[in-house]
Amino acid sequence: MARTIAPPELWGVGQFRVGAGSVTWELSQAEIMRDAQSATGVLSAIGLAPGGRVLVTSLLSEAPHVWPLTLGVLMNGAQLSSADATPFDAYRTAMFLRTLRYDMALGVSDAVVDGLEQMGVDLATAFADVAVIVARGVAYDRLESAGLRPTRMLLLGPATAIARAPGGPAEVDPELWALDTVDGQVVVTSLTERRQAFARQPTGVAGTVDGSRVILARGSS
Amino acid sequence: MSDQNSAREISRESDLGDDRFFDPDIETASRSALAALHEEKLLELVPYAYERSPFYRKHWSEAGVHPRDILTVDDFRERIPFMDKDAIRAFRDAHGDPYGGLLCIPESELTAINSTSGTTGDPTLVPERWAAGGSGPALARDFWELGVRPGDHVAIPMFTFRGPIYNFPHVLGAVPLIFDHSPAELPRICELVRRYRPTSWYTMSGPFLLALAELEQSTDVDLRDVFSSFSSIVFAGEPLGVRAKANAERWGMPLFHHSAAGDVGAAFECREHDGLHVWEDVGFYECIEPDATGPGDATPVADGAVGELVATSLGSDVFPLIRYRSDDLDRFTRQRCACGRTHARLWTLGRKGDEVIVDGRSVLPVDVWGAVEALDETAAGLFQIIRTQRQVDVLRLRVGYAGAPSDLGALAGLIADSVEAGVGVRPQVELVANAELLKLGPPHKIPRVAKR
Repeated sequence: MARTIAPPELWGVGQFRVGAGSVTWELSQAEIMRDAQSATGVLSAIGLAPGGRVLVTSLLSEAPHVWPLTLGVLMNGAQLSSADATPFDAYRTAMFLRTLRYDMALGVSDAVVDGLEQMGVDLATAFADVAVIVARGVAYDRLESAGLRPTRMLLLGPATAIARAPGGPAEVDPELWALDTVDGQVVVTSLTERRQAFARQPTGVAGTVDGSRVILARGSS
Repeated sequence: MSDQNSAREISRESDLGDDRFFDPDIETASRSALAALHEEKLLELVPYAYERSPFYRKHWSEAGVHPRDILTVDDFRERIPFMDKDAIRAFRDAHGDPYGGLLCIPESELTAINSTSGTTGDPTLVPERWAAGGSGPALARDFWELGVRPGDHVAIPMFTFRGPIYNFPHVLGAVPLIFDHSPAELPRICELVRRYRPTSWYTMSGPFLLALAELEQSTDVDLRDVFSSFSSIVFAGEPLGVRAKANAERWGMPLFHHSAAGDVGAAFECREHDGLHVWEDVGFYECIEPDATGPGDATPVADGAVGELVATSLGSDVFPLIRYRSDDLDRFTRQRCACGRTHARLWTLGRKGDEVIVDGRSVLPVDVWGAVEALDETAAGLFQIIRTQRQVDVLRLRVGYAGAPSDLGALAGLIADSVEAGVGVRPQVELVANAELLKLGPPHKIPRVAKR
């Protein structure tokens, strides 16, 4: 018989970015599940339904943000595919978009768009049949310039903010996070028990807040 | 291996005591028990796949084979035709089936659709139905052997294309430290390794070892201290070059080799460092003459000899590969390992598709490696064989160099001398900067063969 070992209370140690730097981030299994429940609701609200399919583009180091979203995809009864959010691995993103039907592309980043454009892939064509394109950084603007209607996503320090509709501001789950600004920079405070509590944690994102929504400063992405 | 490192391994082994197996019943099963398991699973698999997979129905019918003909493992060996990645791609393209005709369950039952690495061409889809526990149990056996225990941390600098690989340490009660497989991550990895003192690392690569050497030169980081907590560092992607190996030993890295096993499972070294174990309850592995064209002339190589690995999935009812020719040249044995495990072991030599025949002489990338690494300017061992076809008149190499050598022509001559002395064939050498070659690959390796 194989050994049966209880999983550790600590889910893992990852990081989140603040500007050019990063902050080490410990997460418990319990908070991952809480974040996953929240992600399930958000993904449903922006159009993911049972039987849907999602292409997730991310870096492995983004797992503390992405694993709850991944669980959210599964809890919505949808399927997922994964590709690295790097210029090199954009060939995989292109292959998936060419080969299968996707209802949602989640986490499209500048690096992915860079890679696709380097391959000569036309963004409007590649994403034409994807109903919901959740994009972050300058990728949002580049996809919009290509005639697409992306949905804004921000990795806001340890929080994940996703707009509820294309063109709208990204927002966090107000039961999990409180937003404020300090010197024009958005800061986040955790509202639920976490292995690592955050109080007015700088995010490196310039903008103002409206409740749980982030209004990006002009020129900020 | 350094004395300090050996002492740590011995100490760790002593800590582990007789506690060596994660799943002792299966890991040490007798060969007769494994043979019985193979017969049971293969005889279930053949009709299952024939009923559900359009690829196998077509492929086997064309070979004049029907499941009713397959009553024993010998029948399986003698009748079931081989297949390979090109056959999957051809079916995919001819029939518009993204799964190459191999999907054996309704598409709606899939959890995830991931993909192969794409090292040898367009990535092919890998549809999955996740069970509770995910892919953890098979990996758990390997990492338990490599010393991971509840409460430990495991450093995981990896990619996302295989799915959420970071969750596997949980099966062992261990905690993942999650990083990108990017040389840019190394300073942060070093910092967190010193803070959390992980016991295992999955995975280390040639480009990472190269970047560590550069980090050591440009900073005051003490890499012996960084790697002092590890009982295992899993190395994968490519052969380990002589210089990289020397650095790893100097830094006290307890390296263990790891490889894919015919896209059906994985193969890991155990602490005996005597070949890479495959799990024969996960895959049915054969090692055949590489030039075989079909079951009729596919003579199994003698135990311990070199052949091409052929793999059959025993654990997948979703997307089973059956008699899948891996293109991998391996030395293969079913002799019991000193660790006590009874499952087969292999030693990877290279890809059959990477071999060039120059004036009747076989040359694989692994043959060229040491000769390229021997020179300071090309010590990183970054090179490609230009393989326009298998039989070539001249061995052509594209070799990466560091820095700004004053006379590239002279350097090319030195490389040619070194390769000629090591391989017995004088190559034509094209020189490019290391950075240009590194752009060609994913961060953990570069393609070792190029068509032009």
